[in-house]
Amino acid sequence: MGRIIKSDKIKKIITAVLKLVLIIFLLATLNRIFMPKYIFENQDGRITREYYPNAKFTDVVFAGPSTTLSAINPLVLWDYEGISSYVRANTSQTMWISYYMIEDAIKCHKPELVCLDVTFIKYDDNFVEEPSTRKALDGMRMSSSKIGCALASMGPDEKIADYIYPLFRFHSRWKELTFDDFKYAWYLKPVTVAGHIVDNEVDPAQTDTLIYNRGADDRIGPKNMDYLDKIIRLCNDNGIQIMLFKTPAFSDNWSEELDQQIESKAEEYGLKYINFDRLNDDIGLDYRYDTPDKGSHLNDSGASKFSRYLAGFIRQNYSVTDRRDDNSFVKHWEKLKK
Amino acid sequence: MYKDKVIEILKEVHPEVDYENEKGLIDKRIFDSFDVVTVVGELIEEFDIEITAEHMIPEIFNSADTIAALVEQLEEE
Amino acid sequence: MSFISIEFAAFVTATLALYYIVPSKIRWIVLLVASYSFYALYDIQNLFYIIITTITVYLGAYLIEKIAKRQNDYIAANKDSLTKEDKKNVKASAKSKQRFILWICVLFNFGILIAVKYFNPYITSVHNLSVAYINMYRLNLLHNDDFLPFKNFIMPLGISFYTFQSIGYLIDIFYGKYERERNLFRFALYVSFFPQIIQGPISRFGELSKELYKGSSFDFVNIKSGFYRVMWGLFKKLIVADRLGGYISATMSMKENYKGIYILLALLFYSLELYGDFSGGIDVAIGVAEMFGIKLTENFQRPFFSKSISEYWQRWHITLGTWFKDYIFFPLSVNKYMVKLGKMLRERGMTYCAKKLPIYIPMLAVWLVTGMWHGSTGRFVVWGLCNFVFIVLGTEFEPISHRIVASAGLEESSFIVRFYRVCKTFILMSFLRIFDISHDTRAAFDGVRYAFADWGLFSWDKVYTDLLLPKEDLIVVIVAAVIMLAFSLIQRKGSIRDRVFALPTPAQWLILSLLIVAVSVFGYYGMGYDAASFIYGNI
Repeated sequence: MGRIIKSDKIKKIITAVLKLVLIIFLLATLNRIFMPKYIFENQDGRITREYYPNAKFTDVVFAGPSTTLSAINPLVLWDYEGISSYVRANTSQTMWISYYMIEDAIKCHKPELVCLDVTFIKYDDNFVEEPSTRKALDGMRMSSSKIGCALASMGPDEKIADYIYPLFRFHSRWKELTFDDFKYAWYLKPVTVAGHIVDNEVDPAQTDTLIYNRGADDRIGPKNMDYLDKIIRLCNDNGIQIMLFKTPAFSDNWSEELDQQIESKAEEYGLKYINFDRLNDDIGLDYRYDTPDKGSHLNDSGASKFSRYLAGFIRQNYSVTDRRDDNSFVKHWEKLKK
Repeated sequence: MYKDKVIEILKEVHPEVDYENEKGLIDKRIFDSFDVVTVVGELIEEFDIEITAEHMIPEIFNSADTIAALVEQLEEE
Repeated sequence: MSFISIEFAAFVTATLALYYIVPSKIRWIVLLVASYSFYALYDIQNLFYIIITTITVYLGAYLIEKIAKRQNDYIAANKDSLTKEDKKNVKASAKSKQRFILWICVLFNFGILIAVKYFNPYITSVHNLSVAYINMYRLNLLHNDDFLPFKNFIMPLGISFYTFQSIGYLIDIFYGKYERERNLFRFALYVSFFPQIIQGPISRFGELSKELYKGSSFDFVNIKSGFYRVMWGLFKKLIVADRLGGYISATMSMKENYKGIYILLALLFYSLELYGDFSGGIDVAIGVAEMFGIKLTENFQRPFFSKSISEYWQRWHITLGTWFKDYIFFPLSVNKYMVKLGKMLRERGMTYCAKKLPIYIPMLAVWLVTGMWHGSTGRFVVWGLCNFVFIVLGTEFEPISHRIVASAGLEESSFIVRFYRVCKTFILMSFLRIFDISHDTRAAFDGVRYAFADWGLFSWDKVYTDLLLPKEDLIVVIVAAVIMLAFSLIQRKGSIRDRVFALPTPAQWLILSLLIVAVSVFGYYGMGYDAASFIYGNI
């Protein structure tokens, strides 16, 4: 008798669990169908999601805005120095998004070095660009980092629920759903090279001198500075090396004053800050050929030159394991090359 | 005692009806809602009682007897 | 906190959990705390108004009862010495004291209502059109803050509803319909019960008090059933109603350019919108209450299938209609002046007038008040008058209309006759709503004029583009509206949910999934998706 009751109870629990799993699966599928896939356009929207299969091969994490994802080609770093890295960058990635990107990366797989591109620190503390936040965050796995990041990035009209369950945000895509949205709901072949997006366009810069056209007001906002602090402390607390840098760009809203402020912050923590614009004699970027948009970003050829230089720079200044002897790493990068 | 007075009032509205025996004033649509309201107004005036909207149901207004019963009940209160 | 938000869902879930955890006896306290929190979360200033009403009505009921008790004691003590005449006098004097207290409470509380509703600087200064929207029916989900400036709106939440509900209670106490609630906090819950506070239904104490304090034990069926009801409400509101707002306001604000069929379409859509929005909100309220095991009064009964305007008003916003009927229309029509008027007319041989006038005069008063309830400007009064005129005409011509039907050899119960009557009622009612969606009375009459002009210039393309109702959305609205009306028809033969619950589990799952998917996908909410804004390129 007792046994029968017990088995009844077990049966009930199992069906309840099955029901729950089924509900979650259905809701998740619905969500996936409606989320933008960025199949051909806006492929930067896929960088965050594509990180996770790469996580355990990530010794170096790059974080920053679109300048970072166009300028750094992890494949070059691998080829030259055996550095295994991933670019966790996105269009308009603010300092706070970078902070949570790094936090999320540390939770997945602790890297040896974090390289933070500070290019975006020049923007206002109130900077909000919802589509960019979505592209950076929608691919992130659910965690306190994701929630924290959403809360830090949301504009006044946005709702946290839209980040927890993106269907609430994207449901009105029903008008433009295509077959691909169903086909690729759960799996889409990776397109980035460890977070790098290849750009073959060439659109030469108009002048041949570096322009910093930042206006008079160039104090870094307290929120931006605070997150810079938080990132450094996060790495220190986890025993991870950190490098602060600015990706080379020919024409930029940048100024000497910004450099100075970051410089003094770096000194405070005994860190290096490198503005790679100043090392262009060594890097050898030629903005007649190396930019797709008049010097704002680097194209494929620019990225190759910069990444080659960066590989050597990291090797010289930081201790990062050379993984070229490690079979699993070699296999991983062989796969990425294809 | 109340019944005579009630019938008197009813007769003012519809003199042709045999109120002693008629049990379907509402059901047979002899009285429409206008008539009922008129009757209620007169009853309130006559007996100084408080009839409220909830009393406005066919069961009460179907016959002189039931109306008289209502009046009696309200008078007692 | 809007009814339709994740926050509200979370609020309800938390309250439910707490409600079923605590002992049955004190469950009502959870509801009271939740109701006041809900109120405070919306706007803390609101609490002031509702507390004032709660306390004054509570005191009023206390005094009315005290007077009655003193009168009874007096009569009981002097049973033998008092003549019947004396007793009557004692009663009359007690009654007049009670009446005095009743009137003070009524005037005070309606005074507050009128003050905040009609002399509110925000209401008179904001776009008139938005007032029509805001007034009674909608308090949430505003997509366009510019058009519906709710942020500035300081009218206390649900003040019309709880004022009516409390005053109705007091009048019932006055008539000795039931015992007053002695516990101030329990009474406070009756006034403030959160699911019904935003847009009704207006409950009666006799019915609601039985439900509120009983502390139902947990029953999953209540949760399930309530959830279905909420989802159905969201279906009507989010898929149908909210999708149509853009077209209606665009067309009516540019009616000089969009005459004829555009306006007729706006009127048709407004009927659907109003029904979807209001009855959908009521569904949410009733559904949420049901999860707590509390049954609220229904407020709609398939109004679009009414065969006459007076029937329509018995099936639309029922609780308001019965409130007016019981507390205004009825007392007025049996008032001694009306009786005298009837008598006088009868004595002069005007039996027809003697019969009708004592009814039509109170009815006119009710319609004037109904108009004012819907809005503070003149056009609502005109709207109320139009309703009154149509109802009178309908009543007066009823015999003729029956005769016409009979002479055509048709049965009153035949489909064709019923269909004709339903269509006629729907068209008339939809047309009257033009006062609702016009800036003022003049604009409404312009609208009527324009509605019959330039029919040839109609083009769907304009609807899709300039008038903010893209083709895909139009299709969704049509399909959803058909489902909405079809369900109304099916419902006539008994509860749809009971039939769903009788189905095998997989079928139930399918239905629930379809409902959830429909609401979450096709609901008109959120910021909308503009693929262009996602283009990569900025830094």
